[in-house]
Amino acid sequence: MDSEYLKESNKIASPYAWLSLVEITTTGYATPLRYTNNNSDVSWGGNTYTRMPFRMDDVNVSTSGEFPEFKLEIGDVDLAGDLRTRVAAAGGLVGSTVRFMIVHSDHLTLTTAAVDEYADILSCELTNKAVVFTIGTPNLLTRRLPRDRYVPGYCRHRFMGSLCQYEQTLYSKLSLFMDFVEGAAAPAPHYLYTENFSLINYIFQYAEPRGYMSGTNISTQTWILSKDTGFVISGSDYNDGFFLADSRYGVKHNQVFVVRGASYGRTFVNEPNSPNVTITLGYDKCDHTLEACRLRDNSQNYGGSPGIAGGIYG
Amino acid sequence: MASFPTLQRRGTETHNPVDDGNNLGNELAHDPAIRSLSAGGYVTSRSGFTRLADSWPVKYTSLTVANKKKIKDFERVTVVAGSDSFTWTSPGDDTAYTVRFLGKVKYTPEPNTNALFWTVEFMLEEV
Repeated sequence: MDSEYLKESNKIASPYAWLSLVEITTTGYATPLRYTNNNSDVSWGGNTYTRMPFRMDDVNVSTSGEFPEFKLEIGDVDLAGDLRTRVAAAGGLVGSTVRFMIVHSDHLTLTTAAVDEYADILSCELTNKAVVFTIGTPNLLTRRLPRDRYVPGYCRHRFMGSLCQYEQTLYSKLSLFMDFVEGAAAPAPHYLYTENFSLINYIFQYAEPRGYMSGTNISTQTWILSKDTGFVISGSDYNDGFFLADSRYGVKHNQVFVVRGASYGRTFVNEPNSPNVTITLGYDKCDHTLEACRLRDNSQNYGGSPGIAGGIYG
Repeated sequence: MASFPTLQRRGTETHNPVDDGNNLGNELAHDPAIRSLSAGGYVTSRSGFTRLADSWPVKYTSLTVANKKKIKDFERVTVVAGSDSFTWTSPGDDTAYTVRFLGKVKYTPEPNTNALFWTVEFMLEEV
């Protein structure tokens, strides 16, 4: 510690103040957040520390092998301010480095602080009056290992995430005069019917896994689906949502049958206005089963663990 | 930020607070000292912060009803008592400060005036 600080700490009375400074450095941000708990801004070390009411817990030192943790409470109510904005954008600033310093108001030209400590932000809590950080040393022993939870019949990957790798196809078509026709009686499927629109040419020939064309006459030819194929309808008045084309029936140029099962069964609503409907091929959700992966031709990325005992494979 | 209303006595003449040798002065709003008792009865003391906020006792006398209403509206509607800060120019040094009301504003009718003239007293503290 600088001798000037020692002199100050030994004085019985002094008109000057010991000032706390906090510097929060976050990866990806060039400028750290700098605050002082003084009631006016402080310039120290070539930087300006903005006045902000903050307080920190007493730091306890333990000999029982515990990792020290304490609270840093910054009294900020400005929702659009730098602190709250950065907290919201950077995951609560978890992992950021906090530098805590104590300097003296009569010796702001010194280049070393009387106290200069570093810690990591472990968690963040927001209240209407303050941003409360728990800071300390990260404890690797509290991390989950292995990282994932392995379940036989349930895929652990986030749908359409980097490990799932499924991408909803971009093939879509805006059509006219789409009718939603309810099947006569179960298990007769419902079907979609459109005029002046080729479901085969524009949509279902791109379904994966690929099917094949049956017939040569355009008015009667059918696209045979390899598997049930998901698609999403949007833009209708009453029938937006996910449907599953039934592979037991071929897709005709103006008609596609959809599964009338417990999972995907839909009761169509007649739409007298004949809305402009967009059909987007592919699945927009997943129930994380192997069967769902197969339907999406994505079994190679299935995140379940059939080799683990238990579940339907055990 | 709101400003304290301008009060006029006659025409454009400003109605200033009374200067009885006390209320144009100012005092510290808070004592910044941190004191701690140590062994042997010694008391060590330091300042807790570096900026010292002022406070002012202000007293207006012989305010007309219109002027009193100006202050009352400002207190209750504009700044909602001590909630919001505002700009106030001290007649003592003719300097503008950012202040707020400290405590209640006291409105007293002056005797024998049939409530046509009022005394208004309040404290201001620097924000």
